[in-house]
Amino acid sequence: MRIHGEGELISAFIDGELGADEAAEVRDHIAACASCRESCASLRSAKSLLARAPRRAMPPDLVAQLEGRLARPLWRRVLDSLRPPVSILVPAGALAAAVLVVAAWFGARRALPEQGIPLEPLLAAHSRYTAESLVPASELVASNYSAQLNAYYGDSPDQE
Amino acid sequence: MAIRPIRNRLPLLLLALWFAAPPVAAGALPDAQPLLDAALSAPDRPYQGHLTVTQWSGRQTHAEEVEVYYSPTNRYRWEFLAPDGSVTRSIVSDGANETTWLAHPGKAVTGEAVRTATKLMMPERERELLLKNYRLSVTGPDSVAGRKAWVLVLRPLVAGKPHQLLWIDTETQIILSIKRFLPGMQFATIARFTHFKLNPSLSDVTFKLSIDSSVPVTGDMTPDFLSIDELEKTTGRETDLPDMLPGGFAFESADYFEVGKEMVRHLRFTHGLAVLSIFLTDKPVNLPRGGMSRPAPPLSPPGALRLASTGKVYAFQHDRQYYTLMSDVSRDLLEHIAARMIPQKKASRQPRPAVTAAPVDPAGRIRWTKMAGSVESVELTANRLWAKTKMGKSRDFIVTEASKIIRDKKLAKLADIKPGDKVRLLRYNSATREIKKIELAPAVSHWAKR
Repeated sequence: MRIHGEGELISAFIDGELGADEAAEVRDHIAACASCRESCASLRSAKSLLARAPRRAMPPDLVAQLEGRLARPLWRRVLDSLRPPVSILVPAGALAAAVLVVAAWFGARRALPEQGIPLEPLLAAHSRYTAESLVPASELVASNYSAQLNAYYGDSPDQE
Repeated sequence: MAIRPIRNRLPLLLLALWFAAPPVAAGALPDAQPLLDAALSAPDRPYQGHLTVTQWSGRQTHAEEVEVYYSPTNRYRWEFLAPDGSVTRSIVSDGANETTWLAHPGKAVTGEAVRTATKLMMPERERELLLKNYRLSVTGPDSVAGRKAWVLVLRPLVAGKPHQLLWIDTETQIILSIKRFLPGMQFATIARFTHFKLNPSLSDVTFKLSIDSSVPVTGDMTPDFLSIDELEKTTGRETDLPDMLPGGFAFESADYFEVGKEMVRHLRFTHGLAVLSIFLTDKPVNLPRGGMSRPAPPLSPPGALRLASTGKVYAFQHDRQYYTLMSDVSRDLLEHIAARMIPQKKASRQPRPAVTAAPVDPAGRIRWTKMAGSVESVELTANRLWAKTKMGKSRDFIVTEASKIIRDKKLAKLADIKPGDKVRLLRYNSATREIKKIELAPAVSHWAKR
């Protein structure tokens, strides 16, 4: 078994997680290898510091929540495990909202009346052509024609 | 049987007596047709005056005063006045070009003077239509602005068409007053001189409109007179409308223009006096709010009918195409026309007789036609250019010294034209193929939005 430089194996040795044969083998290597002995001492020191660190009690509501979950039937716990994580739910929700907005926009466009062509240029074209009629009505035509132009290009009260 | 009070019939009786009774001095009355012909020709003497224009349409009445100046040949100036006497709009012609000045938006619209181009329908044919659809008579004399005038009465032979009265100066045959109306309906237009002066001293300045260089000038609103075939070839759109419509309306000519980015095809029909415009668009036309509207009768296509000062407007949609009809005939006649003008099916479409309008009419006016498309090539040494229509047909044109080349609203030269340039409008002499005017993109449409 390779032991030299295997930090995880040394950590397991310190935690007493190895079998008797493995633990004896590691113990022999550490006794013979200065660098592994140093690593072992460093790991023991870190674990000792962590073990002495103050611990905070679990909030009571979290305890109750956990107990509630554990009390749920198995099928429910299976279903919960199948629920997608939040990291997927957020972008998926945003995408769905965007689709809804676009669909609503298209729907609104269809529901709204189509943007029409202003009537004034057509009235002006009709009047201007009427000026070419066989029987002249110059002033009448000119009045209509210029009024329609005014209604189209300006804010004249002459609008129809 | 109930006896109706005679006072209800009194106006009819009086009207019948008025038409039936011989004039007091019948021998002194001129013949109607020569009087009409004299009035149709352009005045050969200068005049100026002040007239009022009054229009009734439905419940609305609109009146304005106009200062008029005229000088042969075809030079005119109309100044439309606000109640305070200020000029709201002016239309000025130097005989060839016309400028409309709109004071309120501070904008000028330019084009060619009225009656400088030749229509597709010859005047003889239009006169024939008029005499076929109207009965002419003369009464009078009457007095207008202190001058003696004959009253030429044009009465339609078919109901629903406007009546027209012309007060024609007995000495000069200048029209002093016009009245057009539909009997029994709230629709009439009247123009009448209140002051009239013959042979005034009018300088050239009167017929020129000096516009500040900062004023936006928009053009070109001059109508062109295309046959259906020319319209179809130029626009690439088929137009299945009959040549004749109910009420004696005959197809005269077609044209097209742009409103914003939308193409509007304009087909004109005439029965000699009134004009019927049919506009074809791919989008609906916004009808005026208010006014009159009523559901179409069962035979008519479903549409809306409204009143406008220029006449009635009837709009409907058929087969993804929007139709807007405009004329000053009665609503019943307009709806009847709408019902009968539904395009013929392609399978039953009759071959259209080729319209070969004379390139020059008897009055010597040139017939201009127009096209749109793109420039194919330019030959500077020969002063020629080849352009391709929207249908892909290639044509050659001659550029002369009189040809006006416009790019971005500025005068340009033949050398400035490059292959591939978009031709928004090219007006040319159909006989000689000489270009009168060519507008290159990105020239703004004359109906482009403010």
